[in-house]
Amino acid sequence: MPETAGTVAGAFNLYDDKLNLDKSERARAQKRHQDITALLVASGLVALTFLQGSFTRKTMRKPLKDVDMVVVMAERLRAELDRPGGPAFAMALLRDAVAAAYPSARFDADGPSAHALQVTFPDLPFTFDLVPALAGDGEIVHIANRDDDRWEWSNARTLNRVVSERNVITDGEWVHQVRMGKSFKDRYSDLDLCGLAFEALAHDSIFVKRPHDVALADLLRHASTAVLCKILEPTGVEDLTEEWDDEQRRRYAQRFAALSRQADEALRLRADGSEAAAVDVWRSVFGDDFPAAPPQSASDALSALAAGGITSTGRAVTTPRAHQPNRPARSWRAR
Amino acid sequence: MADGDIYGLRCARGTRLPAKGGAGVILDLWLAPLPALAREGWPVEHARVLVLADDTTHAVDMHPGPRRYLHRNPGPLATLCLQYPRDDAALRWIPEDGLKPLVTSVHRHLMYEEAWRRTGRWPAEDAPHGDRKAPHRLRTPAARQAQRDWART
Repeated sequence: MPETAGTVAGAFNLYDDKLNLDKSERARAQKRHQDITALLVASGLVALTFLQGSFTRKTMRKPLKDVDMVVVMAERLRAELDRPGGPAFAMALLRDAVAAAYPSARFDADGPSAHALQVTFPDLPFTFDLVPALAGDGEIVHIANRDDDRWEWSNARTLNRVVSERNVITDGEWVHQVRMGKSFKDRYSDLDLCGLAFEALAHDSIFVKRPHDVALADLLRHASTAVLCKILEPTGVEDLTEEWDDEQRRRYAQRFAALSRQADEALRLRADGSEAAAVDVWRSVFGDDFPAAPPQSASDALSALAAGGITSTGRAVTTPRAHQPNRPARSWRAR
Repeated sequence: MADGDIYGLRCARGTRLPAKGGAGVILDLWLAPLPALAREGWPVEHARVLVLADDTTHAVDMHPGPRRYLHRNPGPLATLCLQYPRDDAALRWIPEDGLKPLVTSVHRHLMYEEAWRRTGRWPAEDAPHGDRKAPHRLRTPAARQAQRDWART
């Protein structure tokens, strides 16, 4: 039996709980991050570390799969690392240091990636991706690319800050709303945008603290046209759509437009007091993980059919501002 | 009618009438009940709507077997009586409303007929059968309120 909720706010809160990372898992990830940092700094290899990615931006949905950790190498190693083979050598140094402290850890179990040394700890259900970096100006770092044997410019710290600032402005609601937006990726296979694109869309449409339904409706309305143009990640540097073709853009626009129409219908229903009907419509938008509304009885449906509207989910309501207005009429017979 | 425009519309098929017989269109519609009614085993209905060039419309239930009806005209066409023609326009479909509200009205009527067959009660105010010099007046406060709410300005 699906969870039920009679109000839109209640339904969104239950849905939010389903998407949030498990608190104890988050705590374990943070503790392991601190332990690895202490170990690497003590070894003299590393100046500092910071987390990047959706885990640290708090926009990750459960389950926690990986933690991205940028490891800024000690300044004394710069000359050695800034030579051919430097990025791979940095990863080898990190590997040796971690292996000494965690003998049962495995490395690059999924195959080596360009930027990160993947570490699998047998006691954790998620992996750590250690990304070696050289310090740059201010918030900038240069991260290792062992495939191309170079150090690449990265403003991950700026992205962390920008997202955090937006989240603070919205009283912490923004990250929850981003997670809800990202859940469309699971529901609609044609919405194969990267997770950061959802964050960018939310960054360009949710500016202040808003109830979840209003914020998500704003996001969808914005997305329905934004996908036809450039979408810059929240720091405003990189266009995340650079490799999209026209067909992709059209497909995303159509999907977002259809979802946006439903979201707007749900807002109208709630505004007119049809909370259960609005929950119904949101469930149709988000899928079966979203709580269900209490079912409408046959007698209530027949009674509401007298005048009002029919929602896109087939609920008869007394407001005409549903998807399908339903004008009253008196049936009759000529004789 | 775009996909998803009308709740419950499972399938629609249109046939153009030959011009010499009085141009028009026949629409065959298969309409599923609302979820609240589907849960109680209400059937999918097959309706045929005839729209003539002069905007006259007729709706017929295409149910294959015998059925009882409360609001269906006698005669060979056996059209459904969707509305009382002398009601205020607030309580009537008019051609300017377009096809979607007409189909909504047909769908509702078929669900009401099924409700009447099951319970012996018409779920909303209806008009007495036949006509007379003075129009049948609205009987209930709900219908009078609906007339005000849906007034055409």
